[in-house]
Amino acid sequence: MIAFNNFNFAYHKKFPLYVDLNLELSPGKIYGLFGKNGAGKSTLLKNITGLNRPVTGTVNVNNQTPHKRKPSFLSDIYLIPEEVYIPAISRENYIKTYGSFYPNFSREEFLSYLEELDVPETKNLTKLSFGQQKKFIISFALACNTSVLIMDEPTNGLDIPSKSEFRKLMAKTMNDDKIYIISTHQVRDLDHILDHILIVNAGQIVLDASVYEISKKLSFNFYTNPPEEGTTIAVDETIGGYSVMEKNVLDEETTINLE
Amino acid sequence: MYEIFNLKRFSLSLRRLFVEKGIKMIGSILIILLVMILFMNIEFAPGFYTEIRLFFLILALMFGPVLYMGIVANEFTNHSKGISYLLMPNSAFEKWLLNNVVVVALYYVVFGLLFRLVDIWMVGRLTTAYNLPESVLSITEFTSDGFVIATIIGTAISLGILLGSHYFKKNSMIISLLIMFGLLIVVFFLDYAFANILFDGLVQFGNSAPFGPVSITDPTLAVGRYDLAFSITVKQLITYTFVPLIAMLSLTYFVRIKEKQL
Repeated sequence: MIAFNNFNFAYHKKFPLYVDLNLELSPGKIYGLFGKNGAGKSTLLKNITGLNRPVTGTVNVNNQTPHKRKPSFLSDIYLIPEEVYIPAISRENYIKTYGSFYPNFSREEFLSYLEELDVPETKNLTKLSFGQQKKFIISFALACNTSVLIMDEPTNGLDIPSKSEFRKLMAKTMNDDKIYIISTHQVRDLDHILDHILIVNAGQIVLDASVYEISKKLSFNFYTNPPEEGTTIAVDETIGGYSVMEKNVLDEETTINLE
Repeated sequence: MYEIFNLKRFSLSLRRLFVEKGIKMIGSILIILLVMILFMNIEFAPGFYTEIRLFFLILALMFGPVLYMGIVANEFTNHSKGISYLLMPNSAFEKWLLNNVVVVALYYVVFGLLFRLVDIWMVGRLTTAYNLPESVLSITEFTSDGFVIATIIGTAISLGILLGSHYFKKNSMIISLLIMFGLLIVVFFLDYAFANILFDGLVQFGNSAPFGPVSITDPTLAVGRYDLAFSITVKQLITYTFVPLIAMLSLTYFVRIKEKQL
């Protein structure tokens, strides 16, 4: 469980980013965190991992205070940043050195994820391309089996087959004890695997709802002709027609269009 | 206690250090020694050897760590490296112990051991070649004043660079050295100012090295110039000033690891 209680945060005293935020994230879900650049997504993630500390209020992750960065906390959380850091060592050395820090790390799982994501073996990990390095870290993070896994733009740099494999791995590795948080602008890459949507704007959570709740209230349709007003909430003119978000008055089940 | 120090965890971070930086760390010490050996052999003579040995020993102990720390103190050169370091499942104490104590001490231990071997080899060669009695040319004592003073100053410089790497992302080593140099200049000026207040403007700036002997020039007096010095030795002076400084830098480094935000 991750809980923000009366959370206040500011990089500069005069410009508070989050004011009195209350938010709860439960295990067993994949959360999608969306928002414009500078909306406060990364700040939220940094406060969960303990890289930032709240000005006032609390952040609680599995009954621990993140900013204390206790080893027991750090060995049960993993953050994949947008640009990953890989040392100039071999895969085997990486496993022995880094894997041992995480009590639930599984070597077998790691090697199978690397295979699924098609990451080649090299003498030195820095010889891997940007996308391969990212896939290497994604595989490692999943194999650590931490109860909280946070990903910042995980699909950036991944080729199309890898994105598909990534989605499969997300679904496969998820269980009732884990929380996955994915912050991304590439909504199309991930919208099918998300359970819960969080949208941040100017330090406010403007949407905190499950995919089920959203699809109950809204339906997403495509029309070749301009839709009539009435149940229409938003219209986006695209190639060959109109993407429309409407009130779900007919109780129909449609795929959420996060864009 | 588990959250503060765990031997298994600490040995893992030691392993991480050596796997990632070990070759570079030892390599930098070997480069320093190699340069030293080259200079020692410019002239194969006992007198030249003892002079160049002292010069390079002080240089290597005081400024050798600059090259060495440049390799170690780079945890925050970019954002992803900083994240990886701060989220590594180690306590702040373990991170402090590794970089602040083990890494710094390792330089002096490895350098000291290798230097001793080189010294024994060179002294043996010179003694044999010049047929010298054993008492004429001896190996350097690690307890000598020069060795202790240079080690203390070198440790302070190392910790300054280490601390600087937490504050400056780019060119942290250069900036840290410039700040240390700037502080030294400030101390010179303060020393000059205090000496002049005490001795009524009779001290020249060139004579105001901090805690060194102060020359007072007074043409109205018969002798004209007096040198005032502390009654304590240079080693004691360095110990009394630099050891508290090392403790302060060390404590600041610990607080910085604990509180560092990205």
